[in-house]
Order: sequence, then structure tokens, then C-alpha cells
Amino acid sequence: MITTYNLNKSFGTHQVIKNLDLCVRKNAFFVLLGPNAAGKTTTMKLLAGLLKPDSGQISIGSIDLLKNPVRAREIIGYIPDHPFLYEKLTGLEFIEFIRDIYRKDKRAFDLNMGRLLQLLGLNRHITGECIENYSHGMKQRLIIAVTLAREPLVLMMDEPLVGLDPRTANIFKTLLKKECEKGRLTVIISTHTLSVAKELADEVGIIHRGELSACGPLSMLEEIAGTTDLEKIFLTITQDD
Amino acid sequence: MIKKLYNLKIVNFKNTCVASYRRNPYEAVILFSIFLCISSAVLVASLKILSILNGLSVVGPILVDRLMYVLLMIIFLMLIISSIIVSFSTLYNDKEVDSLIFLPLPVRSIFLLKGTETVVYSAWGFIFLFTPFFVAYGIVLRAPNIYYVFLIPCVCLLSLLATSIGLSITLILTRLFIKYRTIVLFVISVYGSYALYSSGIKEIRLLNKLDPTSTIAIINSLVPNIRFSQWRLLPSFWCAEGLSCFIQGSTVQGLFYSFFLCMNTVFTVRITLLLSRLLFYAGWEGMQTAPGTTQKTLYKKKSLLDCLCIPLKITGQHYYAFIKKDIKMFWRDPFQRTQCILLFGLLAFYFGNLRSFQGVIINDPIWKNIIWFLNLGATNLILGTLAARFAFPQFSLEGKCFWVLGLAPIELKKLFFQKLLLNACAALCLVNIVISISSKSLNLSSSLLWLGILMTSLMSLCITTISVGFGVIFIDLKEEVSAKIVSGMGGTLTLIFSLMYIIMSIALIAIPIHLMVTKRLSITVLKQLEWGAGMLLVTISILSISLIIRCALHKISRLEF
Repeated sequence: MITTYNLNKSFGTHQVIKNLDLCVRKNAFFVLLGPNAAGKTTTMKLLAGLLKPDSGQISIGSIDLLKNPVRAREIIGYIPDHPFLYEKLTGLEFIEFIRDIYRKDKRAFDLNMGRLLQLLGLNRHITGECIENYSHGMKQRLIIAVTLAREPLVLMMDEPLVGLDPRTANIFKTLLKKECEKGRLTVIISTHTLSVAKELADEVGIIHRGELSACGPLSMLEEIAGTTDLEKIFLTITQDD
Repeated sequence: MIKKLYNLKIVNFKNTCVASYRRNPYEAVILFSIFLCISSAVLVASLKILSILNGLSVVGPILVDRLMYVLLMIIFLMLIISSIIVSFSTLYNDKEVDSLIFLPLPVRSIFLLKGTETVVYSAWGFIFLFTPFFVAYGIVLRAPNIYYVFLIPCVCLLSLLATSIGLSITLILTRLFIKYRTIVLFVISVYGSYALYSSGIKEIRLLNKLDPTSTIAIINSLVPNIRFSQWRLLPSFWCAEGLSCFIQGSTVQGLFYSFFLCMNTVFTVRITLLLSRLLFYAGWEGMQTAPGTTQKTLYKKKSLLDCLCIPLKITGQHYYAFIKKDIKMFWRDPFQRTQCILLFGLLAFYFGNLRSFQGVIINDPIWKNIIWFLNLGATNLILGTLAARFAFPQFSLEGKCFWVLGLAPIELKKLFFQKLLLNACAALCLVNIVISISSKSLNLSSSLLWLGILMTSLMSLCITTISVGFGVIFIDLKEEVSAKIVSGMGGTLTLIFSLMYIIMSIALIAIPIHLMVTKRLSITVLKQLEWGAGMLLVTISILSISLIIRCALHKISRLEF
């Protein structure tokens, strides 16, 4: 579903991503692990089309992201680590805005939206109040609901559980897992929380200094490392020379 | 502590410059060259214009003399308005203040830091633009060296004084009228009082003894309108008088006025600092909880704004969504609205002052012609200012939410055209209303009115493209304060380029008509010349529009979030 080939990205003279080859199969739950400043957010932004690679190829659901970005964006959902939203719009107006720019059918979208708002405990909060008055968690929940309501085929998330309370985080994780199992969604998340990877991941990728140091199903990584402790695997792979 | 904060700002500025140079050294060199070219162009143009004016018999030296007073008065008044707008954002809408206020710092230090920022943002453009003019002024009038020595300090002192007044006004307004609606009502009532005054009480004064069509009589009739620049209590008068004394060789008198200005500036700054100690924190605190600014404003599901946007549905579902979002974001931002009210208030002042020219028009075709072109220039200048204030920062104001647009299944270049179209339509409506009202106020013929509409329509398209295009070329997604975006390098360049375009366009059409009216050109030659000038104007406009759109699209294609 997601394939990258020889992906490179630099900021000035600093090369952040080096020859990244990644393959995420359809309906998989892929977790990208890595220490701070390893290149996780840059990778996610490259995959979402927010950053342009210096070289390499990205394919999302057989669509070349670099050649046909508009078509690819229709099937991509992206949830950033910081929920920056239009502060002067109300929650409802933001929902309508997203529905209109993605040209979604009003009835189907609103139905989905209502279900998700209820599930994430936001339905009572979506009033005439501006987003600037929402808490961090509410903004994050709003982005999640709006993104899922438009039914993307691929969902990319950068540290999605930051700011969510344990109950909402649990609901969200269950929801994503179910969607993947039903064959409706491919998920790729970046995090440095190992428990999330252990709990949810079908496949894990460990990125270190911009290079993909290890990639595959968790069982395979455990077999290679000779331990079932993901923390030990992570520490071994990411230790500095 | 304050020294450390200043150092931090300086280091931050230096790092930004170095990073910008490292990212693209050519861009930095090109920008530096553009600024150098603009300064040189202003100097050369000023030399030429001042030499022509000074060479005119009888009225020339009077006009040149008055020009210094009028220009310094304009700078002074504009700086007050500009600093009110900028300080409202830097003092009360800047997240930096929110973090500084929790540091163990005296409020006075925070105010000093943000006040200095306001002074720099408000004044640098004016000083940069007008210094070459005043240098040219000195050259034309063969000023001694002491004039040049005191020129920059005097202009800087005047700028500091004006921005201090602006800062004090902001401090008082926000403390007295914390509620946003009350500020709006206050500003509207000030403008309303002026409108009443100008429409009812003020009378047009013409000297009856002279032939009303003679140059002297017309200048005399215009003088009352600019006589305010020679009011002795006006700080710009002290600056102008001081500089004039230096030019005339009266060094002692020049020094007297310069020190007088200096003392008054120090006094005003001290008063502003005193006011800051009394009012700044209370104002800031009040703004955080004031209804209508940031807190808990509830909007109806379907507001009047939604109803007004309904006709825009014809643009298609996603363009409609973008336009509606832009309009709502603009309208709900109290800082944008305050700027809007201030600038539209200036427009009201302009209409109010037009009445004074009615007496001048009479039947003299030369003056009718001059006033028509002045009106055309003023209308487009108003548009240029409004476009630089509101159209230029539109892309930058997307800020950290740009990722939403970056992910949307729409090409960003189409979004650029959507914003351009929206602004162009608004500009077309505005300038056509302004030119129609002003032409009616000046009792101009319908042919001149239609020519004005045609020219302003073309010019408004180009001015809007300059503003929106430069907004993309100089996009700054990290800056959240709109006033800072506008006062930055991109905003200043937008204003300068708009100004240059307006002057060039009007000169192209005005010179042949003026030559014909003054009987130095026959009608047949004029017709040919006017066609040529018209075609040249259209060509230059189209070329400018294409070039700017091309650069903006190039920038958009490389944009990352």
C-alpha cells in the first residue's frame, strides 16, 4: 500500500533521511519507531506529501505521490503531532470546511462524523464555540474524527496519542485496529512509545539517524535479536557507535 | 535583564539573516540589490522632481519649501496610525508577551522590549523610503553639510516621538475600553465627529480679490488645507523648521529646533514609559478575558456571514469552502477588524477633505486635469495600502494550519488563483466606489469618470496581483502577528512596488494629457500619444501580472510545511 524507494531528504547541509526503502502492506498497522530527531516526523511528512524529497519515489496505493499528488491526497489521512487548526472557526465550521474541500457527500460524511464525535466524546462540545477555546485533547480528537470521517485508505499519524486521555486513547486504538482488520484502512504511525508498538503493530520499522535500521513483523525482529523484549531490541539498534 | 532580552533579539535577527543567506545566497543578494536600486531610484526621481518644482517661477520655491513641512507632517501622522496598529498586535496579540509576562521581569522591561519592536516595525520603512528624498532635497537646495549630519537623527527622533504617541494611545485605549466593541464604537465616533465637522461647519475658503483661476489664487486656496503642517505645536514642524534652518545656513536656529525636538521626544518617551507602568499589565490582563477578543464567543450555526457567502457557491464546493473560511477568519479576528476600521476611517477623511477641492475646480481645465490625476493617484494609493495590509499577509496568515491546505486534494496554485480572484473582486468594487464618489465630489465630467474607472480597474488588478503574489514570494508561516508580517521586508517591498507602479501608470497617461491641456501638443498628436501610452500601460500591467504570478507559482511549487 505504501512504498518508498531510495528516499532522501536534506535540510540545508544536514541530511535527515538517507536512502529510505519502506514497504507497508495493505491493511497493516505499521509502527515507525525511533529516538528523538531520528527522522520520524520528516518521514511521515514525506509520506503525506507535506515535504518534497530531494530524490526517490513514493507510492501510495499504486499512485505516485510525486507525480499525482492531488489524487494521492484524496486517499491519505494525516494527523500531525501538534493539532494546529483554524482557531477562529467553530468546530462545526471546521468539519464543514473539511467536508467541502474533500468534496464529500454531505449525508454520508455527517453520518460518519456524528458516530465518531459520539465515540470520541466530542458531540457535546461541538457548539458555536471557536476552536481557540478547545483544549489540546479536544483539538486532537477533532482532527481524528474529521480525518476518519472522510474514510481515507491510508492513515498516517505522528505521535497521535499525545494529549489524549487514557479512555479516548483506548477507544481510538481499538477503532483503528478494527478498521485495519476489516480491511478498510492501512495505518502508519510514528512514535517512541514502545508499548504502543507492542500492543498494536503488525509490522515495526526502526529508524535511526535517518536510516531504516530494522523493518518487519515484530516476531521477526524478536527472532533476529534473540529476545522478546522490544525495549532491548530498540536500544541495541539505536545505540550510538 | 533588558539588555539580555535585546541581545536575544539581535542574535535571533542575525541568525535569521545568516540562515536565509545560507539557504539561498542569490536571493539575499537580489533582495539587497533591489533595496539599493529602490533607494537610488527614489533619490534620482526626487532630484528630478524637486529641480523642476524649484525651477518654476514665483510658486516653485514656495512649493518646495512647503513640501518639507507637508511630507514630515504626513510621515508623523502616518507613523502614529501605523504604530497604533502595530502596537495593538505586538503588545496584546503576541504569544511572546504571554511567555515574557510569567518571567521574573518588571512589566516596564517587557513593554520596553515590545515597544522597541513596535518602533522598528513601524518606522523602518518610512525612514528607508523618505531618507533619499530628503537627501535630494538638500542637494537641490544646496544645503550645507550640517543638514546631512542632522537629517537622520532628526527624522529618527520624529519617528520615535510619533511611535511613542501611538503606543500611548494604544495603552490608554486598551485600558479604558477593554471591550473590543467599545474600541470600535470609539473609533467610529471619532471619525463620525470629523465627518460632521467637515460636511457642516468647515467652509471652503477662496480668496476673492484674485482671479479665481490664477495659479496663485489656486495655491492660496489649497494652502489652508496644508497649513496645518505649519502649526507650531506640531512636532513635524519643529523637525522641518530645524532642517530648513540648516539649509538656509541658520545653524544656531537649526540646533535650537533639533534640541527642542530631542527634548520633546525624550519627554514623550518618559510619559509613555510611565503610562506603561500604570496601564500595560492591566490592559494585557483585560484583553485576555475580554469578550469579543479571544474568549468564549459563540457563533450561530448559520450566521449573517453564511447567508452573505451563499452566492459564492457558484465557484464550486471546495472554492466556496476556502472563500467562506477566509472571510470568516478575517472577520472574526479583532486585530484585522481594527486595522480595517482605522484604514476605512482614513478613507472617510479623504472623502471629507475632497470637499475642500471643489472650489478649486471651477472651470480651469489645467487644474481640473491635475486634480483628476491626483484623485486617481490617491484612490490607487488607498488601494495599495489596503492591499498591502490585507491581501499581502493572506498566505502567511494560514500559518501553522498550512498543513490542512497542503493535504487538501487541490493544487496549491489553484488556491493562489482563488485568493487572487477574491482580492481582485473586492479591490475592483472598492476602487470603483471610491473613484465614483470622489469624481462626484469633485464635480468631474462623466468622460473623466469613465476613464478613471477604466484605469483604476486595470491598476487594481495589477496592485492586487503585486500584493497577493508578493505575499506568496515572501511567505512567512512562522509569524502569527499580522502587523509584523505586513511591516516586514516583503510587506514594505509590496508597498514600494505598488507605489512605483501607480506613479508610472499615472505619469504615462497624465503627461500627454497635461501637454495637450497646456496647449503644448495638438489633439491629433495627443490621440496618437494617448493610444500609445494606453497600450504601453496595458502591456506593462500584463507583463507585471504575468511575471509576479510566475514567481509566485514557482514559490508555491517549492513550498513545504
